[in-house]
Amino acid sequence: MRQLGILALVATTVMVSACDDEFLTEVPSDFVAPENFYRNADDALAAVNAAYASFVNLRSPLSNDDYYGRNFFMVTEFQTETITNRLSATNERSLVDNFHTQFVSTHPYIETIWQAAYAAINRANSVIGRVPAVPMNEALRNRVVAEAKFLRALHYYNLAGLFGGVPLKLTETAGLTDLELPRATASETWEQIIQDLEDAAAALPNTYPASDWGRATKGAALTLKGKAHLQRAQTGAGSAADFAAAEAAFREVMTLGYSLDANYASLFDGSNERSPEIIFSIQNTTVPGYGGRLSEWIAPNPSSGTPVFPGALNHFQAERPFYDTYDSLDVRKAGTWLVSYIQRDTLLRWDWTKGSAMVTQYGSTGPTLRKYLDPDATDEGAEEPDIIILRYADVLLSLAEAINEAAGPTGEAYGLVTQVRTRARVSRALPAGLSQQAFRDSLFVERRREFAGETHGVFDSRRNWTWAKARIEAHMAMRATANRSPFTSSVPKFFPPNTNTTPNIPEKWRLFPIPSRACQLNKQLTQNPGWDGCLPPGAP
Amino acid sequence: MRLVRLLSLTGSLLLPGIVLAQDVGRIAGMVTSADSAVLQPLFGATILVVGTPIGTTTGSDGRYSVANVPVGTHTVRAQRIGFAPQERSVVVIAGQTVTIDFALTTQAVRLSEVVAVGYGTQLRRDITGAVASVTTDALERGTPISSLDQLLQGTAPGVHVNTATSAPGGGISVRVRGTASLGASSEPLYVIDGFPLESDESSLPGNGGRDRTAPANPLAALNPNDIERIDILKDASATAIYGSRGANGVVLITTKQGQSARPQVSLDFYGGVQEVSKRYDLLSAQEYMDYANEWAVNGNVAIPFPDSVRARYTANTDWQDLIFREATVRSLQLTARGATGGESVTRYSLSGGYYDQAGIVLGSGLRRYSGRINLMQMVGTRLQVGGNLTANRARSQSVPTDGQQNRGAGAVSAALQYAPILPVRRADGTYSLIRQDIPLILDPPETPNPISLAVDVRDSLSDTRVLGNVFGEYVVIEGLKLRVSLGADYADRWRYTYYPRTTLRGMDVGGDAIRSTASTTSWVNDNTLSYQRQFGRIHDFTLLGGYSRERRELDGETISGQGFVNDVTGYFDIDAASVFDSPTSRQTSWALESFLGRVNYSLLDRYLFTVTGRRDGSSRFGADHKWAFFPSAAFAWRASSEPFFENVRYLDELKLRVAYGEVGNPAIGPYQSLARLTSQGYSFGGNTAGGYFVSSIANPDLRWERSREVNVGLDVSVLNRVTLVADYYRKKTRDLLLLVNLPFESGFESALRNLGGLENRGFELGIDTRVIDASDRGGLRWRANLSFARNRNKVTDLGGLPTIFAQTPTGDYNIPGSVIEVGQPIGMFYGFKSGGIVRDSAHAASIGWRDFDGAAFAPGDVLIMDISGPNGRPDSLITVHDQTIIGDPTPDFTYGLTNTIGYRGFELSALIQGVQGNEILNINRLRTEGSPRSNVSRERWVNRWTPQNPNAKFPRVRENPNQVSPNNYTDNLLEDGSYLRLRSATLSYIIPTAWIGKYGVNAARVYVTGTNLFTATDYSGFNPDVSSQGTGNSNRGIDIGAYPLARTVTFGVNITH
Repeated sequence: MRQLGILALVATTVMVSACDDEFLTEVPSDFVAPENFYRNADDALAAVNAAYASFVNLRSPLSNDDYYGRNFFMVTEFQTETITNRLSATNERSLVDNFHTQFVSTHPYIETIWQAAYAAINRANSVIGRVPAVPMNEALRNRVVAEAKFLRALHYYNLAGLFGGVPLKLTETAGLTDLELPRATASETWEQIIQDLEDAAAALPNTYPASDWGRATKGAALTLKGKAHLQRAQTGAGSAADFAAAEAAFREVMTLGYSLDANYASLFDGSNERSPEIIFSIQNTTVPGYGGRLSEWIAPNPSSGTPVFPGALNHFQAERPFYDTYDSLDVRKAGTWLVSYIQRDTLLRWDWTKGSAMVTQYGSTGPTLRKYLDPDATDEGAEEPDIIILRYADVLLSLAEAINEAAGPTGEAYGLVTQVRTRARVSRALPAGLSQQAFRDSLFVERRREFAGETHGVFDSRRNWTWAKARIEAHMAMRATANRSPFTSSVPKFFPPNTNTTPNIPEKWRLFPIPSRACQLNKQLTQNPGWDGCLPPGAP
Repeated sequence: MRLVRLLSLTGSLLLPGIVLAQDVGRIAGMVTSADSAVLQPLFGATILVVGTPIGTTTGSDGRYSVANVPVGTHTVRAQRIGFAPQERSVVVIAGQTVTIDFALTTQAVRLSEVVAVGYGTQLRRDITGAVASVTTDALERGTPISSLDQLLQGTAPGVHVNTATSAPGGGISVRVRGTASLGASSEPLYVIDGFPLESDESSLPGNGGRDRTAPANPLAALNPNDIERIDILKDASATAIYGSRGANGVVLITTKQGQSARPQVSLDFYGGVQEVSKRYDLLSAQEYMDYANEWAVNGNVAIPFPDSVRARYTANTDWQDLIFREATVRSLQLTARGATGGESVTRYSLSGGYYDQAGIVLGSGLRRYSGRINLMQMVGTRLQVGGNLTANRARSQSVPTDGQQNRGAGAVSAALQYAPILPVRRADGTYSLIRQDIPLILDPPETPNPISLAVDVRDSLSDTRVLGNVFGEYVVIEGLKLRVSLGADYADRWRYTYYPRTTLRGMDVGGDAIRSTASTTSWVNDNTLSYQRQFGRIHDFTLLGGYSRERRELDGETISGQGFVNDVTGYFDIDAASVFDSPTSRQTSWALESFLGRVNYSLLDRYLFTVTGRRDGSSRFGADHKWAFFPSAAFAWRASSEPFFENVRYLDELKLRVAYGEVGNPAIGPYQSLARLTSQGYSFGGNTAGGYFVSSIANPDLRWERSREVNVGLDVSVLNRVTLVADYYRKKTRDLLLLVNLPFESGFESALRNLGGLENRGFELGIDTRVIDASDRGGLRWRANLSFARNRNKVTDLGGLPTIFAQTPTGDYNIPGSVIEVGQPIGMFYGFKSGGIVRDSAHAASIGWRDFDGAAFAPGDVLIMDISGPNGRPDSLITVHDQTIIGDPTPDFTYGLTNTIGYRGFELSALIQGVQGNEILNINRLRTEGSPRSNVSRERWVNRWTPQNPNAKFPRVRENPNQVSPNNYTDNLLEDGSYLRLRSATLSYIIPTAWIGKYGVNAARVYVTGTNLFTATDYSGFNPDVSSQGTGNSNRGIDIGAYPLARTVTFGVNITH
């Protein structure tokens, strides 16, 4: 009996203690590690697909609202005279709206855009750094790397447009040291963007088979390159050579088979996503996590009855002074704004002329954005309409801009604008014989009407700051004094103080502040002129 | 022979005699209490043949019998907790039975107590570190206990229990000597009968990741009636035997074992009624409409309730009345214990329990079934084998309570917010909805109907756990023992939730079902060798060496779907959904390998030395830091054993203790040191395509948090009546596991690193006194037990950052989380300072700064103090720069006082417990003192500012006066969280044996207990003991619609045969 016991004890000991050296080595089973990835073409494609995915799906702690899902739209569009959120003065989103005096560098929206853009850049950097070593078809490999370069350039384009020169992080982050980079100058930043786009344009195909529709094309790279040259030159970081380069890029795009779509409204509602006008768009589909998320913020939400869908917030409303400037026949008015919709078999309609505002969430009183609104949306990130980033109308107007800057309003420049206006069925022709400045200003007015709600607003304002400042101030003054019923609601529109009829936008608004948390985490960052929360401009 | 003696005393290691001689006899007798006016048999007294491992314990009749005692002269000792031990000399004759009876006197001094210290036991008098104990005395007091935390609360100094939610089976947060971590868990390590259970929130299935709910209690499945004793190792010298897991303290739980030779069967039953202990005083329908009208007048908008509209609202609903209820609780437990005699002793303890608690919030409740078998078998004289097996199943129904506001509100916060003018249901039978049914101008949020949440939502949690352990112990030579144990734990947990289409959330999506499951499997193998030897009466050595391995795996998944045709099947038939979310699954494992050792050396029974060390290797750490060593040393001087103290008769014990040690905290998830890729797809041409990106950076340097702690203690007992244990400690923790934010440009939010440090220091006092002895005053007895603890916590380093903000506690307001700042305690509240209410226009005119909107402060406004600006100086404008640290959620001190007064068979026992000096952020008040979008507290209405009431407590009726800028709040929302609570009071009576003996019942006791009968506090919410954000290290002390506290009265009976 005793011997049996000893035996049992020893056996147990040996059995459970039998040493395997791997006992403390972690072998993860529910995720993939870099060591067993980047091995073949499938992995390379998966890596670049994930770089695209940051358009629709940001990982915690970022949320999908933080970039193209919401914040980027609010930051780029609320600052124009076209769109407002009409929230109470102290709401987080009101602070983004129209040059709020209490807007500070701690505002979460600019912080998350900065953060999300760099997260997306890192995904592109992984592809650019890792894929060249992957054994696979060389043409495909070059294309994948070129796609990543286009994506990297796009995110830097957004950063440079909002913040000026930014740190140039061009390699994948692999360790925890040397992560603090100083800001590059605006000129250097644009140079990098242009370089990436040149590389991308050289390797990207003109088109893809249907199953790959939505990947970056040569046309996308060239269009963005042209726009980057324009943005650089028009914001004082470039030279006259940029206009020529932009012109060349746009002219090349014009040879690639794009054309204006006869049906303006169809571009934005998900019904015409392969239009020959679309050059690059965020691919949305109705699979949860693979679709858009904007509708929640756009859709009106009448207080009685079931809302269009849960949580509709109606934060993108037309500014009436702007809304009233559309030509009566301009199809873009109805293509951009929703003035009525059917709710429980009842047609609901905003009707300013009768002075009766439709009561909606947060006191909406004006038409809401129609672009990108999916009436069948749920809150699952499964909205159909693709978000257009580049389209042919932009090429035409941008080329006109480049020509005008280089050579004044030539007949060709006029012709380009006319093409866009004709498609919009604007009845009045652009006045002939405009000065270079007048042509420039009317070109930007045209861009406002053409691209309202498409994230170009702040970029455009900064290319023609004097015009934009005067125009927005004038609109704000109208809004403040007129007290016209459509512009009042239970929650007054904010411009401090409310009675100020002569708003003055400070010069610091030519750039957003560098987010102060970015500065806390990267001590090398310096702040833009006029803003606080970081090292002052020029400090080391 | 001390070690053998010690071991023979422990519950789990009961050693019957090792008989080497052939001639043996028997000792038998009875142990009684000498203090009682009636001679009371003492159950559970230990009988020892000194110098041998032979011993037993008395049965409920006080009788004992020890067989196989070698012939010769022996000293027999009888001891029991709470009584002074007695020794008698006896001559044993072969084949005969000698009878010895003992009459023990009670003793406040707990020197004879046997304390579990991890991989062994020690006498209380020999302990050199800081160990607090909750003993059978407290456990057997008869208070109905539904969970372990109720045993720890207020009874052990330095152990602070915070209730995350008062829901049945709800979560608790235990802090031993303060918070010692920022990024990792600060919960202690629980060891049940030698089996370590890390408190691991990540192993709990959530609600599909959608709604924040307080975590479930990881120990809810353990039946408290099975617990024999709880010992809490507090300082580093005591916990060093658990090495890398010792930094947060170790709670050792010992379950009951069979002891007496005579089988003992007992039945315990109690039943009771619970009700909400406190409510918010909110407005009636008429008052609410008055409030709304005044709000409209003050805001220059149309009055929402002109008389014509007023007439339409005829309901006057008290929503709290409707969701709170009187609820029953009952518990039944059957236990059988005993031991067989003869050469091959078998000890057994079997128990089965049933516990059923309905929650005081409609729709909530907990039911638990538990069973336990403890067995021990002697095989020959040198080997004993044994094992225990526990199986528990706890099933609870929860209602969404700890929720946010607006759409995510839980039943409790919705009940506070819902306007009293709404009926529960509309005329058509559907639930009323505040967004749709009150005047639009109030612009109410889409808060769900509270009754729909409480009644219609089905939210089931199940926790099934099987914990088993087998061991063998072999005496190699005298004094040298080998022990091998192998334990396994399997826990299966699920949480199924269904929001039917009658609820707001279900309405939108056609019913919403979520099934989330998680199971964990772990095993532990411990192998220890111990040796005890005494040299003369001078040197006494105990050596312990061991090797241990442990592994744990977790597996879980979540599926969810929406769009059901009807609500019949709910989550049971998820295939019936028409829309599915992507399913998620996870699988992780970790392993720990350890070498441990301990030396106890006692010189002249006066100078006590303990040296402990453990070398741990953990899979959870970086490739370069898998192993670490945790040493400790302690010294104690028992001055009272010095010759010069021998004549000081009143002094029973005077012991000074000094200890120092280093321990670790590994409580982070597995794989954190590795880089990982996460899948994330995109669609091209309408077709989804898979993708992978790098979502975290590798950190091969990741390692333990290290805590170094010095402890100085004093144990005094005098007059055989008063025991005092005092400890001072200082614990410095460095290499904190911190999720360090990386520069945004890296593309990553954060990485887990070892950075920073913090410090806890404090003072603890435990006093145990026998105020009146039964022998003093004709049968009257009174015992009092006081515990007091004070802990100060300070962050000393955050790896270069000045501050870290915790995540926002509520997405509806984006209110900032608490702040961790160098030089301050962890998790301070951060917001604006208020300066009271602006009294009148003269006062307003004297204010030299403007509010957040650039407007001047008006009479009746909450004045917000301009304390800083962009340049660090007041700038005459309220900006985000005016925020500062405004409060501390950590108490200055905690205390507990237990009084037990007895007379003959009657006993009255009461536990008073409290905390002092902490603050609570009551987010509920953002709504109950704000706009009429939700109901409002009566005090806010009655004592509001008006020109006629300039010295009001509350501001003018307006929008949220407690919010400043977007996403911020003032210190008005902070409240003093100090409280003093009569946590429990029990009156019991032992029915005389004369009355019941004829029914075959040995002992019967009846009692009535009141729980939470009384709380003295200034806190305006339901319960100041609140932390609705769970068990984390920051965001503590926040109240958002937390489950309210129950006041309970129960009646119970214990019957023993």
